[in-house]
Amino acid sequence: MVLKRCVTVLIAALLVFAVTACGSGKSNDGKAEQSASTDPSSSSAASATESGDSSSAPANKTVVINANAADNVAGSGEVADLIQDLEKKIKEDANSVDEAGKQRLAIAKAANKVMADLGYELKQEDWGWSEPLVQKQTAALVAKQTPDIITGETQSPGFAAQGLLEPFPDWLDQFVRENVVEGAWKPMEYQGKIYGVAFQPGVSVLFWNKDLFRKSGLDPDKGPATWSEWLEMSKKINEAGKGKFYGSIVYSGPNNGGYLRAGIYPLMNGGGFVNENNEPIFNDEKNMAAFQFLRDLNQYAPKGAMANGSEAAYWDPVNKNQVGIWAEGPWMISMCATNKLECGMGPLPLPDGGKAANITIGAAFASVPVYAKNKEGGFKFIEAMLSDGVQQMIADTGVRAPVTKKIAEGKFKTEHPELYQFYEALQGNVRGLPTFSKENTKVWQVYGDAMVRTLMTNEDIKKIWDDAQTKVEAMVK
Amino acid sequence: MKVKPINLFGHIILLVGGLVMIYPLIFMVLASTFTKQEYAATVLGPFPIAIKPTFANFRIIVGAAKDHLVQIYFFNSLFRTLYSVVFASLTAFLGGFVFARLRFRGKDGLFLFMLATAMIPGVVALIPTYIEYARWPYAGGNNIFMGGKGILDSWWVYMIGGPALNIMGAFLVKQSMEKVPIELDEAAKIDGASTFRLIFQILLPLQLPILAFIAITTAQATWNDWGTPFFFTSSDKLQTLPAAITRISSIATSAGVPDYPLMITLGLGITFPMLLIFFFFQRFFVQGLANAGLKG
Repeated sequence: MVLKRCVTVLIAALLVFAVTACGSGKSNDGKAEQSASTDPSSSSAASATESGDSSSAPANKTVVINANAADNVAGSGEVADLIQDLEKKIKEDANSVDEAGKQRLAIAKAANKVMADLGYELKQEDWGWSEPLVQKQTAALVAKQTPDIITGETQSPGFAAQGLLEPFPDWLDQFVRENVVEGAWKPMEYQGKIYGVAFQPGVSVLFWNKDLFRKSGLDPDKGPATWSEWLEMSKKINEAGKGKFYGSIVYSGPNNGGYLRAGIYPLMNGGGFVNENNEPIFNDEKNMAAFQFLRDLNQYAPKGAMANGSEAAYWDPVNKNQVGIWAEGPWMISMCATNKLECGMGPLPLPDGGKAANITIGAAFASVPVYAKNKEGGFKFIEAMLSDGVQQMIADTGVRAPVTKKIAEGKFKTEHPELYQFYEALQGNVRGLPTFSKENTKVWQVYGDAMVRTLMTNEDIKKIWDDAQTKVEAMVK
Repeated sequence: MKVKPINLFGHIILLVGGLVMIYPLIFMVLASTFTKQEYAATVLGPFPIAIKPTFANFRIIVGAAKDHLVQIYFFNSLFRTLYSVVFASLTAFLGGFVFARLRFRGKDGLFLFMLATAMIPGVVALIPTYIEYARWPYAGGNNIFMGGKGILDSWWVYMIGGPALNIMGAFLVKQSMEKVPIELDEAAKIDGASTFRLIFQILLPLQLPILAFIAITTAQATWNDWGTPFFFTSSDKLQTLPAAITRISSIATSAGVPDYPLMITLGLGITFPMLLIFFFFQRFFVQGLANAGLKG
């Protein structure tokens, strides 16, 4: 009896304590919460739609951004404070922050200045990247608790298709279409509306190892231009390597990294993942030649590296001077320098009768969720990141290509000819990964399994992909 | 002394097994002496030896210890671990007592139901938990359920979320307590002991080995948990060491130039306290499990 009473009192006390202690109506840092509606049709969205005019002071000053490491200073908090802390750190010890960190600082400073001039304060939340980010964003969207800007890669088109993102207001839509290279926003276009843009996206271009080209008797200044040349050169490098170094790798593992890299080749041949109605076309005739090409290339790759579930199996031999030819995003330029690889660069080779195509990779698409509390501020942030000042800063850092035509076609073209190749590749037929209408994850799993079977077995390729097509048609029906 | 062949064989198997277990740790120690450049440019063997070994990564850990934010992460990790250990042990003990000693209708069914919840993988519960925290009534600007952020991004995530009831611990305590004769309780009551005294002065000391086991495993799980801070908080001041390392890894890899030696060294750094705990308290593992009747 006594125990029963004790337990009842204890539980009641705990509940009262918990509810009263955290029920102050204030956020954890004691500041009052922003008074904003979570209704997607709130007035801030409406005013954002009306005009891009920045002359009047904003009603809601704070813009919460879901940071992407490549665009911003690391950490969470007020961006102005984070910038100040980092600058102080660099002042005390210049070596305490690496070059990439200094470049991110420069970009963050430029963006923060544009926003401050408009009367906004940027607040940053670091939500990481890749799978954990997708999970956290999904949970936040389900709970209707999102920042004003979310950044994401392969998941973002899916969020747009599910109606979780706000379409760009007319003024921003028009600005993006007129001034920004297609590859930076086309993957985020859904039913004629733009839902996101990447400020410094990547696409794949061809890299080759000049040292291994020389050792294999090839011209180090000339990469392959066609798929058959690529196979021929890979064979020569492989034979010269005798197991010490290898011909080529196109990473094709059963994950987003593999789909983003290997998915380009069916597109070049006129095929792809889906048709114009977003229905899977895995067993399309035009895809078969591309899958055969990847299988052929795999015989000149380090064993198991192309289809490996972990990207590390691909990066390791590339970084260690063991691979002759591969395709990668813009960060490879700095990696070549870091790893002391003498790299050649060129456009991706084409199949006979094929056309240039690409898939964005390492593209952090910034979008405004429908549950954002400050949608107007969110769109202003996107505009700020596309401003001349910020885009020029991205161009000057020399790590990735800017996306606005004005900056990329200016001095950047002559000052960074290697990076300009990426800007060129962002034009034309550039896609993102599609989001399937149903069972998206499972459909991708089927694609990944079929790709592994294509590379790791001698089974009939058509049969592998017919099986995959049958499975996914049942899933999306 | 003559060694029996069967014993020799057993020792060889144990030695090989031990080496397999300890190998990742040896690799981590060796890899942490590499520079980023040498690590990237070297074809690593099973036991990589750096040509130009460096302790710069360890110096970063020592230097980071002076950093204000790292001190916060460390304090958060420590406080959260201690809180979870105390709370989880307490709830496991009281829960175990209830199911081992009290009689009430539906006891077995309730226990099985609670035990079943322990079988649900954490990742499946992620979104419901996120919504639960976001909708917490009258917290973080919420009215009854909506309007604010609930207890997300606050210390309450750690206080309420983690150790609400350690049901696996309760199961172990129940198993262990059922071995204690009920006559002991009756004798204590005849001698005038109150229920409170019976629980905390007579039964508790007998459950110390299993509680030590629960405390150690809870400490390990909480110290290494990166998911709770990562998913349910955003502020720097609420991060713990593993969550902070996850962020560093995310930055390191997003630029395409992973600093694996630094990430490995940081991993070593947070593993060390748990190694010490395991080293000094490992006997409680065996003792605790033996008491719970789970040891073969």
